[in-house]
Amino acid sequence: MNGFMKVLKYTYKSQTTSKSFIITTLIFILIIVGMMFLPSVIENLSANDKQDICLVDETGILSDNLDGLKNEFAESFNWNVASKDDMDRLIGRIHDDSIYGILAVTGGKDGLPEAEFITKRVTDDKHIKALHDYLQVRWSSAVLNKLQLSDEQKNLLTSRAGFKVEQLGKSFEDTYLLSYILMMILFMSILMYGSSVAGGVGYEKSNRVMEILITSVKPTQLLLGKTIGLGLAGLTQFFSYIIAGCGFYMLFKPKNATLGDLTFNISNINGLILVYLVIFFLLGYFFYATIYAGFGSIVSKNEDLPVVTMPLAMVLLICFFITMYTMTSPDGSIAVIFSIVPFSSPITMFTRILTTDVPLYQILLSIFVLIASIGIFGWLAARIYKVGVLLYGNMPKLKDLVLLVKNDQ
Amino acid sequence: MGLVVNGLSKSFNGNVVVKNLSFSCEEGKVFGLLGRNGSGKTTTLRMIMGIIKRDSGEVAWNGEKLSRQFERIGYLPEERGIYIKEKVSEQLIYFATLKGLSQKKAKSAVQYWLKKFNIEEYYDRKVETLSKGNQQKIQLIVSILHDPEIVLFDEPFSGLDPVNMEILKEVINELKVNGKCIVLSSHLMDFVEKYCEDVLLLKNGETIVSGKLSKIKGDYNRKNLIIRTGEDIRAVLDKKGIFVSEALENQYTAKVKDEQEAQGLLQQLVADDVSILRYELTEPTLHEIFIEKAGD
Repeated sequence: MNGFMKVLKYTYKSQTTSKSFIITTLIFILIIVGMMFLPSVIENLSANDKQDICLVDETGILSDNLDGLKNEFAESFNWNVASKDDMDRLIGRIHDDSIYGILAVTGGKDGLPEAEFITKRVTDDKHIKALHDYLQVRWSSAVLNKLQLSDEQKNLLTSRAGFKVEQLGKSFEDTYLLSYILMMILFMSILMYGSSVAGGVGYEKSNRVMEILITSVKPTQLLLGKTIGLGLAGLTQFFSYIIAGCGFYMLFKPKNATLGDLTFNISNINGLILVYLVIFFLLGYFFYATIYAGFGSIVSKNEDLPVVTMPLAMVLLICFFITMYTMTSPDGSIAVIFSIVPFSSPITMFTRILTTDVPLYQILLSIFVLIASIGIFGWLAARIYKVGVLLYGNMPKLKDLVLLVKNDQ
Repeated sequence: MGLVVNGLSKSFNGNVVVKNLSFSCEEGKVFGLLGRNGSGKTTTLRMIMGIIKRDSGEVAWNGEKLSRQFERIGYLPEERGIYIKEKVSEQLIYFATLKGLSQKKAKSAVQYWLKKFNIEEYYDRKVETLSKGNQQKIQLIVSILHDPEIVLFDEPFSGLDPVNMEILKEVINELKVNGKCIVLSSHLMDFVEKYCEDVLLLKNGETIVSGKLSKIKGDYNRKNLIIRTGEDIRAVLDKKGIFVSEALENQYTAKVKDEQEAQGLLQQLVADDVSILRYELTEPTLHEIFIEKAGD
């Protein structure tokens, strides 16, 4: 077993048995499980909340058939009937949140009812639309009766033209929430693990344990062993999320939930998605980890570490925002470009796969570019690392560093 | 053949830190690298290890160029270099396997050395829970547990209490008897005098004296003379130009150039019929030589 494997084994073991690793894994699993169940819990809670609503009806179109009204809205409203004189008092009750709203119906021309719904919370338009629809139905029914049409004529008048919607590919509403969450997990994992590589290198240097290490193994073996060791630890964490998530899902089968118009559809996650998640995590991690390692090897004091790691974190953050932007138009040219550029591609391409049908050649191209970039940046990082690990004192200026790297061969 | 260091030099930002340093150390010998703080000892040791790139010079072990990843060399850095938050046994075994020991051998070596230094009970503890002295012991074990042929110690006694110092002295002696080549830097002059045959004294990167300790003492141009007489001989001493550092009730502590000067005084006193109660001529101590040569 050569130096590389020894470093890898030790790094993997000490990382996966460390307290922070275990705690972080458990916290994330709790978050994932919580997110699976939370929407249905919220839905259940709000479904039982019937709102108090007042009816002031001068026309009788609704108040003549109170039972019908109450049945129609049995799940959402508690009806109270009031008169016009109570309006001021009732409006006061809307302001102090003791009632949801007032449906005031007055008669207009030719008996055409004019309704006004007074409320503080117009955003709940699902219910408001239902009220409007119900009023319309009652009015149409009243008109039909007045016209004294035959049953056949009534049916013809009330028939609606057929209108079906067929969704090709994936719907935005269906996938947005899920993609957002998975994209966040991917982004945060790459950021966390990438920067931990820099942290590890910086620690070994400021601690001087680096002196023991580089007099025992070759620097390249050290770099590879640490990077891959940490990567495997990250992968282990990922797999435990997936297993825990799938396990909970199989056991408890939480319902799909809705948040406004958006649905959180867990069944959208199939095996292929998980495979892509793992692939892009690994590729993204190795891409950033090698750069982080190169940067981290230049500092010798722990205080200097943020100076070199912040630019990289900024780059990752920018890629995150770019991906957020492209989520609404995943087939646009910006989305396609950034799903190939190696800095942003792990996150952007993965998100595109979730929200749309990506042609296979694009996926393969993205993966190929990432692998090639890892090779190039990895080679460069190794050159810097070889020189950087022995540099103590103040951080070298860029031109000094370039000279040192050139002269090292 | 042993360790041969030839012409090592290093400058940082135009400052010469080590200048043309050469020495050799054979198997079974302890070589003392002496000098004040900042004189270049640590830089020298780091250059031998390959941690700092030397500007010029060669380092050879048994005739071959010494490689940085040479497995049979042990190094004790001046500052602590171990994983603070990890267990003692795990990282010791790790470092040992990196230096070529098998997992099994590493484990038994760790147990042997922990016992030797009286810290067996810390086998499963995290290093951060140990005191500074015990951490130093761990660091020492890291440098020798893989049974290296060469050992470089940078101030090995720092942080050790007298009991632990004795343990370390025994360990170093044991290594010496087992034929290891040991190079150490230290301020403990009495230790160096006792165990080192060869020394090198550095001052601002330059070699002031180097070679066999006995020869250095012999070449030193002053010997210590303690003489106690029955009467006051101040006048005689002054006439002979002998420097007296202390005079108390007819006991004089003086510095003479060599044996002849001391003999000359003795003959004079005998001729003058002065009774001589004590006459002691000793070699200079390393401590004295150090202070005079390395001081400003």
